[in-house]
Amino acid sequence: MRRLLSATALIVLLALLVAVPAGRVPAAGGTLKVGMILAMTGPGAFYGQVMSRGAGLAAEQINQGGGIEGWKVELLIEDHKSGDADAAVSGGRKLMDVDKVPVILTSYSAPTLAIQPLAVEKKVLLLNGGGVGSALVGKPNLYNTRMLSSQTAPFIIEWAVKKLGARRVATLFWNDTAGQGVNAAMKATCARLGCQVVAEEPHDIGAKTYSAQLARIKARRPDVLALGNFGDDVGYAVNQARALGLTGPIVGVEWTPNAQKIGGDAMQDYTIAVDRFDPAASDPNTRRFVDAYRARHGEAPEFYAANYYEHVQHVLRPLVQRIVKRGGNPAEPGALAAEMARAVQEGFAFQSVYGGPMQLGADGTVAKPMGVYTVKGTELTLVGRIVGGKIEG
Amino acid sequence: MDLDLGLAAQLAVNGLIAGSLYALLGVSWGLVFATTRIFHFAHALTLTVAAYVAVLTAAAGLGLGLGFAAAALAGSLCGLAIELGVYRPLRRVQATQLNIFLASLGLLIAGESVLLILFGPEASTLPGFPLEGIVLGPVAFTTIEALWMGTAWALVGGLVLWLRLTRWGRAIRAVASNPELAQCVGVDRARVFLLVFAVGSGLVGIGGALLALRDTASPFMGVTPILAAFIAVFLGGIGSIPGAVVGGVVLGLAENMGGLVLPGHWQGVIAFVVLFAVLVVRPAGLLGIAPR
Repeated sequence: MRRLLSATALIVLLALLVAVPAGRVPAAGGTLKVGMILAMTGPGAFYGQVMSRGAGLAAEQINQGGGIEGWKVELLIEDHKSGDADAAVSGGRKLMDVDKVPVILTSYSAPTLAIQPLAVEKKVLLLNGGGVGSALVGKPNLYNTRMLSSQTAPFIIEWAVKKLGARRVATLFWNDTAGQGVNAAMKATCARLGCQVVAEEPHDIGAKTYSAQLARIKARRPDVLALGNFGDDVGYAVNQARALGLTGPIVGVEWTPNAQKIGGDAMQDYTIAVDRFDPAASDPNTRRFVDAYRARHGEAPEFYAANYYEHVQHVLRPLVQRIVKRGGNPAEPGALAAEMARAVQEGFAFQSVYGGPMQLGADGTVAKPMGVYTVKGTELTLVGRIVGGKIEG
Repeated sequence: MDLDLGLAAQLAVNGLIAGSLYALLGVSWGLVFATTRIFHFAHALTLTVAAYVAVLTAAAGLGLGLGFAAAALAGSLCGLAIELGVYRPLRRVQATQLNIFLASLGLLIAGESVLLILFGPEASTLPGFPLEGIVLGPVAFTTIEALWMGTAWALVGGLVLWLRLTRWGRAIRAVASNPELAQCVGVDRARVFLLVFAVGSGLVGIGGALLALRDTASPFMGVTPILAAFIAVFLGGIGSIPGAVVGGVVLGLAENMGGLVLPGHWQGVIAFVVLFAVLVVRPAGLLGIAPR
């Protein structure tokens, strides 16, 4: 009888082992490879540096704390050479085919769009915290934790029309998906509010000279210059616009400390509408990030570092926790992408270093606190809050 | 189409400002290329190194004047180091021009990466010159751009006179014109090579400081202006210093005046269209002498 019971128990045990697929066995931890495709070289190398610093700090904090439910984070960085889609695809293939990463953190619109079909094919989750092109909306597997140009640009034009009295607007923008998206959003808003776009001048990413574009803009006598460019280019454009005698208000969708340094005094009164990261905020998540970043790098982080810290610390961490809790393996292909879709569908509130939670939408967009800011001295000053799609202030 | 005279005047001035720098960079590279026949792509690295030296000198509180002098010196030393450490050993082992060009390109890429590691990707400003706007009727430019033009033309003029009036200047022209014959009459070719690297690189060093003054210094700042210098040299005619000057000015004016009919971001395309058009009509360039 005892022999029969032992044999039955053995058969039941074997049957259970066969019945539970290997992937469903609760993983006791391991290494979660996180791919990054950033601008590590070229004119945008600054972004790659700060983004990788932000993500690196989060990975360091997680690993020092024993990992996420035992899962250590390993970052693997590839270079898209400041916007080169071919380089992004090549880096993406390496990350997905060789390193088998389940998630990639990307930047810039064109490289992100270039690798998105591959990510769908390989069931890889994409998180973008840098690109702002409106074409990034509604792409499977892609979630943007930065508000896109189609979300921010209308507000700055509304501000220009209602508060600055703009009737004739000229636009100067990046000649890529992101810049074209900003320009399209600005034009649409202008048409809605009854102002006229009198000049539209695209420029190459990373250009340092805007003489021809600004001369053409000046000839059309705009009363407001609206910028659809990013990073250092903002500083050069504002500086040269002022030098060329464009004295009217200049508005845009981005400001960075480095652009401020480049633009110098000319940046005075430059106004933006943006989901702004404030390193001086008292929110506990912000403080934990800012203090650690400052201790590690000797300077306050700006929002690009914040966005990629947030990806690892506040987006991947809860996703991994949710997967492990339900007995899954976060390193398995498709696990993170599926969990993200599930979390978004449930309306899961991811924490943010911008203060409070951030809400990701099923179309891949994010809602964060927004405002209108003006440069006073060398810093941004809040001049209007954007609440419920309306400007207050 | 109505011609907007104000816009035309502004674009012409912009063209002259850009053309002045192209002329300076063009003669600095053209001097090296005409004499040594080395396609010295690493000239862009020399420009960048010199710009950073100017920034560091000014940041050390030594003033902008010393910053420019240090940039010229650093440029010369960098050029000499490249000639002695890379090109001369390659010539010694009978390397082809293509080999030397590839070595130059590799040196540029490696050098930019080293600068990226040393200084980081952030743009560094070169302060110390009062930035004011100058408005003359419909035309506006800055005091820094006025300094660009003044410095560039003073240096180009000085170089032309030096090449015409001095013994070493004549030796350089002799080697550029006919290296074998120059050697037969006692001109030391190796020393002339060193001299053109020192002078050409010193000039591009000042060009780098001028660029850092108006824009900023960054690890990848050198390639775009040096590409413009290449075009200026081929446009004006290889081997002709006045040709490089004319080529630079024509290029600057064409890029900017193109703004009368095309959006501003077509500048790069316009540059190559002008080069193509000139080379079709005059294969030797505007002031170049066609080989007989």
